[in-house]
Amino acid sequence: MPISLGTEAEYKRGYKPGNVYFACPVSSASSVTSLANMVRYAPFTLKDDVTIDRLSLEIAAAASGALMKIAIFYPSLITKDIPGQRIISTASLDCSTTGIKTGIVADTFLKKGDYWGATWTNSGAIGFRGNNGLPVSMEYLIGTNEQAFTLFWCGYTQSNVTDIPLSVVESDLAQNRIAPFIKFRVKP
Amino acid sequence: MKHQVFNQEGILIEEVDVSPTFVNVTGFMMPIFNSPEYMNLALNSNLLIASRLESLMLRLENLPMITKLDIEVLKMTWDAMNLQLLTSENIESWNEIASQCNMPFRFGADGSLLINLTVE
Repeated sequence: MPISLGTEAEYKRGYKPGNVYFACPVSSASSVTSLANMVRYAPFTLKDDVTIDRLSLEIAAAASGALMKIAIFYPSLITKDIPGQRIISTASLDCSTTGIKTGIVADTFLKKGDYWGATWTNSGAIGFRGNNGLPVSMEYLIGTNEQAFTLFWCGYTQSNVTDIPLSVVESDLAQNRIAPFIKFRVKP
Repeated sequence: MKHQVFNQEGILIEEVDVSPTFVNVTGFMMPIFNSPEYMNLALNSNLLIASRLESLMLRLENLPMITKLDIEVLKMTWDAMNLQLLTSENIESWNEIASQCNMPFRFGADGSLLINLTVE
């Protein structure tokens, strides 16, 4: 007897409208302290085409006057293991209180493939939920070395920036083992 | 925990409390199923219904999220027990345990299960 795979629409659906997905593998929810005027980039892979309309990050420690932005970048056209052009960014989100901060962005269609999530903050005192060099990391996109068992690269940092940049070049970046747990919402 | 939503200008447009409520099924089940009142109720009800009820409670314990349908199934079984054996003291103390354990239901004056309206 043939097995039903559901309707064609159900079978094709990769991301469910209205659902929220983490943009990277999530390990234990450690709180990572921010550094002022730094952008953190971490790669993620979309398993299917999707239209997103919100980006979120949980702030575990707040600071007066702290602002944060969340963005998504295309991979660099020159070398795909670093971010390149910015696609979308939230406005500055107030981080003077803890909790989940969600920024509405313009509806943005993203093709299945690799992207880079990014966060920027003006504060060196807030804590955000993120991956801190744990084995569940982004090494599947960035690579690691044969000796690494506890330290895995999760992405890159870019220092001394007062906003999320429009584009990135390799010389701006330093390898890093921290990745914020960015979430995106699929347009309902 | 608060969830704040900001619009494209960065203005706060929505704030909701998202503090998760932990439903402690084990904490509810152990005192109730081991009480003499429940033993009396189970032994004087249809034993098939009683065993089904206990299986359903164990199932709740293993669910990642309890939905209204799960509680409706539980209610169907619970309400088929011989509930007139329960006293108002039983019901009151069980409601207290249900409240402490954040269970998504309470017991009515006749002992039947009342589903909390907040469960979806």
